[in-house]
Amino acid sequence: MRPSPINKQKGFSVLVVIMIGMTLMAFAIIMMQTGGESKERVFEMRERLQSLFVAKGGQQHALAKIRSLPTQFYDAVAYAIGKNPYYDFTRCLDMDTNPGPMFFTGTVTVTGCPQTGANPPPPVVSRTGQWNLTPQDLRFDGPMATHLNRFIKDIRTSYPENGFQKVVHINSTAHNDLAMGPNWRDPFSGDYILERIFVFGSQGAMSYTTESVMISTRGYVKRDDMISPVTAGASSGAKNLTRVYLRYSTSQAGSGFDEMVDMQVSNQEKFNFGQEFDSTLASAKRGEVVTGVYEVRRGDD
Amino acid sequence: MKKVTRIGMTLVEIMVGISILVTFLLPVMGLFSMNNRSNEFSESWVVAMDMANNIMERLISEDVPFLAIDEQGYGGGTATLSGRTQAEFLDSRGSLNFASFDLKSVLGGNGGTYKTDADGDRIISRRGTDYKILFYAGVYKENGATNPDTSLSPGGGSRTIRLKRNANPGGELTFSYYPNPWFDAQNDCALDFSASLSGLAADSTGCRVTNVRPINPYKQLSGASAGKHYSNNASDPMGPNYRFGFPSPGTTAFTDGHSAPNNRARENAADEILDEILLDRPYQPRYDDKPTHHRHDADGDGQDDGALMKIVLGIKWSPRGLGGAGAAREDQEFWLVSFKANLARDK
Repeated sequence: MRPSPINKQKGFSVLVVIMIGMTLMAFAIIMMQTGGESKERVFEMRERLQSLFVAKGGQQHALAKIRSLPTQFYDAVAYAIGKNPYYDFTRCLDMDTNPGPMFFTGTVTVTGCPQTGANPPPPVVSRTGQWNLTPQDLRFDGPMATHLNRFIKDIRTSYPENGFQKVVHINSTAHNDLAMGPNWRDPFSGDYILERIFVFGSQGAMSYTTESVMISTRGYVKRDDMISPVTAGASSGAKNLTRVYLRYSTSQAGSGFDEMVDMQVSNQEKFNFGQEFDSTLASAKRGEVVTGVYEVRRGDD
Repeated sequence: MKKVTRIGMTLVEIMVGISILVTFLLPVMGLFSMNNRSNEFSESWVVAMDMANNIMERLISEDVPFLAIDEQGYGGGTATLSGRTQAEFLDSRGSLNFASFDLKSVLGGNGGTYKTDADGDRIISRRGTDYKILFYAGVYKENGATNPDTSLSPGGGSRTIRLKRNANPGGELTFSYYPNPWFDAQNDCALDFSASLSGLAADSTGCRVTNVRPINPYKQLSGASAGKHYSNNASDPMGPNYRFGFPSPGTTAFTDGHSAPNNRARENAADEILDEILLDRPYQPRYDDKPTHHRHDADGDGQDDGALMKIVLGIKWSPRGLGGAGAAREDQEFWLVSFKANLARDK
């Protein structure tokens, strides 16, 4: 009697072992890919955090200036939306000393004050035509915002321009830093600027002692030329901290994959992050924006 | 009688199976090990960044007073390659007391004392790894050496935040602004109210009739109209007999808080036509670009406290485990740079 084919189980265990092994390999590859992505995220987080604090530094710079010149800032903000910052509601309208709350953006007739002199007080002084709020004014970019834009112009790094020594700057090359002393090197190069200011007041609003403004500052950090201010490098100078993330490296040693190296990107297989980084290494920078809303008023005198 | 055949699990088969399994498992174990090291490495970075974020957030917030930071007051510890020593927190500064702020906890100290390593650096230990905190600071102060303003004296008066008005934009942190709002002596005129209001007619320039009247920022200090808030148009409002700054009604105080006359000669600043002015406008506003320096002296030492501070914070650590090819991992460093404003007032 011939044995049933189903009883022929020779070699079946080998097949099972192979299947188990392949499954384990698949798990391992998936884990490796996941680990690589998590490291990519870590480097992105690092850049974002550095840029974020540079931007927050810009907010602090803005606050320092507003704290120092509150009256000038409030006046500039008021002009930017066509308001007269000096209108005093406790006094009667007076064409010379108290010409009304809105004096650039139209006319408003104020009644209720006693008339003096031969000529009654006129309506609010106005400049019609060219002095109505233009589209540029509405973007805080027209003549009404001249004082405001001048106020915010120097809230930035690398100022002043035109050949003067920069006062506030973040630079990883050796420089005379007015805060940190001679021959100072920041750990990276970066900038911040007060990118945008928005005044929440609107034409016709009746608040004449305070205004709310939104200030946005942007901070940038350059990806290259990151150094350590405290650790010397192999040759003279500071240790290079510029990191290039490589998932694979052509120089495989030992068990194989070098997770983090300080070297030029030279391997053939690159991921999107590495490709972008490599192609624009010298100028690439990440920017982050910080926005704050503040209430401003004229200072105590 | 049926014969039972036991086939399928011979010794040879077992040996082959084991050898195949070992062939698969060896690289898999290697991958697992590498992944584990990679995760440890990433985790150490996440811990370091989280630590740096928390510390820097507190440093630039009002939790830590500006004046409580002594820029190079920390004895020992790692100095920078340029020789700058680390910053320290003060318990007091002049009449200001910071003892209740528990500032040393910002850098991870317990009970007011720092945990330090052999180098004297402040460290925080997390999950078996020591993270070294490197804290450097510097303040943008008045450049008194080359551009002093001896007219300002700290203390006294109602304003303790003073403006140094002839600041040097290239040598110190300056805050600039345009002070004169929309008054142009060439185009606008003010009324001389020394004359009687009744029967008032256009003056010789016709300004009352033909020109609308902007806010007059000037007050006449002397002459027939002394104390009036406008000029008589015959004199230059920027001359020594006038001053800008909108007056507070009923008082002789001025909005800029300055007591002495302020004119162009004293300010030593000619009007500048800068590129921001829209030259196609028919009206040419008048601008005086004023670079000022915020001068603050809360501790009464006669020196400027500064308006802005640069903070450079580093975290340095040695990751656990081995790197590629079984070599020890090199030290890792993570740095943040930010700025802190001096928002304090003495009074």
